[in-house]
Amino acid sequence: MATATWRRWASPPASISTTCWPARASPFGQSPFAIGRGLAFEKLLRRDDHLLARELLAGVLGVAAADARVVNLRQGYPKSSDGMRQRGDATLDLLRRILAGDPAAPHLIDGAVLSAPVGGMPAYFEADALAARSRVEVRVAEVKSFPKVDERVDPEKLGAALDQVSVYLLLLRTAVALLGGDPERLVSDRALLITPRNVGLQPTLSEQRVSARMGRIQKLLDKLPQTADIVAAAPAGLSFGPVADRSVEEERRIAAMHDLADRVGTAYGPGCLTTCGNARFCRQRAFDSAAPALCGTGTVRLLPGVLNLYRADELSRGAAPADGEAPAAALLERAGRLYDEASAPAVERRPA
Amino acid sequence: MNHLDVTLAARSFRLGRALRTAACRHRRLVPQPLALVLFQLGGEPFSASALGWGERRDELHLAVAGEPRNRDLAFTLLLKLAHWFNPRFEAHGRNRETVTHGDYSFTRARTAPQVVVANTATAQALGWLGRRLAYLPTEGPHAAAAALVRLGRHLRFLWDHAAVPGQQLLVSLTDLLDDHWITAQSELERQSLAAVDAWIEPPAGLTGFAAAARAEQLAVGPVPPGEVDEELYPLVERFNERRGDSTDPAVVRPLLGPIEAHYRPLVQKTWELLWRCRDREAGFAEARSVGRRWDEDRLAYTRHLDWLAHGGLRRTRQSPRQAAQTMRRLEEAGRLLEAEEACDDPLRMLPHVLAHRAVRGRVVAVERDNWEGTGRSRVRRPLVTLHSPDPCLMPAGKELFWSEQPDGREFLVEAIDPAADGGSLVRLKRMTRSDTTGLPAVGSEACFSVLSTAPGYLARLPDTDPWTHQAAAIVAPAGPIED
Repeated sequence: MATATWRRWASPPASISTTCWPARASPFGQSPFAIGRGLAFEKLLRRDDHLLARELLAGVLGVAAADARVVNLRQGYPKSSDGMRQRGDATLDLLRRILAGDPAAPHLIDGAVLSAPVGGMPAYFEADALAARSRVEVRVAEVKSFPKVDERVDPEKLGAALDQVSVYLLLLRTAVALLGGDPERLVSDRALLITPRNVGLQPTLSEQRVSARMGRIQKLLDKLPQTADIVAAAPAGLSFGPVADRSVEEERRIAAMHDLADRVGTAYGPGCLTTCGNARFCRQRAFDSAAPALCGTGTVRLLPGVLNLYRADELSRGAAPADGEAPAAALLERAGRLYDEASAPAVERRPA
Repeated sequence: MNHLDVTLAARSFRLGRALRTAACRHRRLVPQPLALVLFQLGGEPFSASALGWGERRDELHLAVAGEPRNRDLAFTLLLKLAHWFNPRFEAHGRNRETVTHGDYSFTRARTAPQVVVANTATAQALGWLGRRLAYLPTEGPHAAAAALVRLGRHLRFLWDHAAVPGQQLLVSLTDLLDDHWITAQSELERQSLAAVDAWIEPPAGLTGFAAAARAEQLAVGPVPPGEVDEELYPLVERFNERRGDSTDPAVVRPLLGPIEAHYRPLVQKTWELLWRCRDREAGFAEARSVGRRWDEDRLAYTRHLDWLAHGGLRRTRQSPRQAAQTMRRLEEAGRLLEAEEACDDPLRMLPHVLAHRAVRGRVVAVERDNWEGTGRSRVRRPLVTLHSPDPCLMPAGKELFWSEQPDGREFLVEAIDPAADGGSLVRLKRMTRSDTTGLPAVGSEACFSVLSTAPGYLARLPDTDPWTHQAAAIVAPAGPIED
């Protein structure tokens, strides 16, 4: 039972895996041109004491661009988990002053760090910008370098960005509640997105309500198992040590990895291929065990009680179903029989 | 995903190669398509870094931009493509036929061009390029070459038209292959043309899985993996250093060598893969209804050329009215495509049979002289009885169409009786006395399904848009996106 829990959560749900990664882990296989573009865009926004960002957000902040005060938390802190904790504290401190209506409080916090326990462990999240209208509302803005053309952006990238902002908004609500404010009133559920407009890098601001996303992500976060439970469920004496040891020859490291996977299992899903450097290893294992997950989640859903793809193939050829296989077996058998009948005249018709 | 897909995926896994999901080819492939290969820099969707083009497998033209983030250099590359592409794309419009429907007649090009690309992402990238080029000014301080703007409008048209189900002007090979083959892969993996190709024809001694794991490393474009761009990065840096700020062809051209050498193997491999996949599909016999859809494509192409000739522009955001009409047109095309494919191809009918939207069996009785009603309302309603080997779960009164004549009148399910072998005897009633809708012969195999290819009922839109469908703000007319 404990192992089952571990397997289910060996990889987090897809929508979370791309967004909740603490503090910008290096993106998986990203092009240097794309990275360069992102950096150039962020640099542009920060130029002249965040001039462009202040102008863009003037309407949201309710102050003229010239009067807006900006604090940059990306500077002056060490790039380590310790630095993240310090920035988290600084963010809370600034937030307290904003909520209290301190006249010297900043309007814009660049690189605010919000922290929250994820699975019982403290995790830090770096929001691109917090924009505050003193005592009225705090907003979260995310900077992305994909272009907005004809009032539209790539829907897939937009979805990921909005998910990301939703996480920050949830954490911000927690932080505001912690400081004694009313999170529902003080934290807007409208996400702000700063992207370049058209082919150049001229920034533009977009706004969208994300309350539904926030609800969905809150549910996912609530369901995350406690890290301690996972550790307790994992068999004793397991370690990534032999796998990570670069001085050992490759084959033995891979064997150690297989041994590890044999004991705790893998939870391969096709989504892994875009987010995890280890996905091909798990896919190979899924292939070796003929796991239905190899063909996608739709296949897994349609094969309840069927152990593997070999068995699905046998059932489609009329093998007698065991207990638990019966519901899928009848449909597979019919599909297999109809296919054989229909393709009999055309069977194995090879290209001319 | 249905149980047929799952069954075939499981069989494909056991065999170690892909299985056909269609007995024939449901898209036209013209003998001389315009093939395009496109590579971009990561994060730059509105420009092309390298292009490969040609009409034959052994005729690959390759050109690179050097620094596609520079407008002049990006346009220099695209202009090369425009000079090759435009005349070939437009030539088909000159030879036309006149079509007459009642007292309405119009002209239609006898042939149409077909653009073939490796994957959907490349098709989308062409659409983006089209958006950038189609609205450029051709006079004034930032005038662009007229050929470039024409290329943009053609690409824009192709991408818009690509939304029509079953269209054949812009063929993305991943779509074509995924539509005709099934493999033990996930949807995501099927987006890789190299991997699907490996499943269809794995090298001797390898399973599809092993061959695909090897083949999917190939960068097919438009956005190569990060590692490939990492190799390119220093070359572009060096190119920029050496050219200074110059975009003068005399300065730039001699410096392009290393970047071209970087892209040549990538484009070459994609090129060979693209033609191998295309030629293999071309070897399958074409389905019956492909011609009807090609007629529609030719008409869309002709209208595009005529619109262009009158200086017509297209919006980049549709009005609510246009959107409603477009949606209706696409849905109708999708409905016809599904019906035509199923009636053309017994394998395509299977999902419908499995879902009890179609019934198949041997015709055991045909009663031509069945009369119903009395007096003046007495009408002839022929009956057909089908012996289906599987139990038929349709309700009485359901409307079905004979798959041999899907544009004919409907048959109603009159009664379903259990047969001795566990199947069903299905009695169907043809709802007309006219023999223009035929009847299957006794002893033959017949299939009746809910799919009809008769034209659907087209509701007229109201003359004025209801307030629910009025645009909130007037959308600015499309302009260049160079700022």
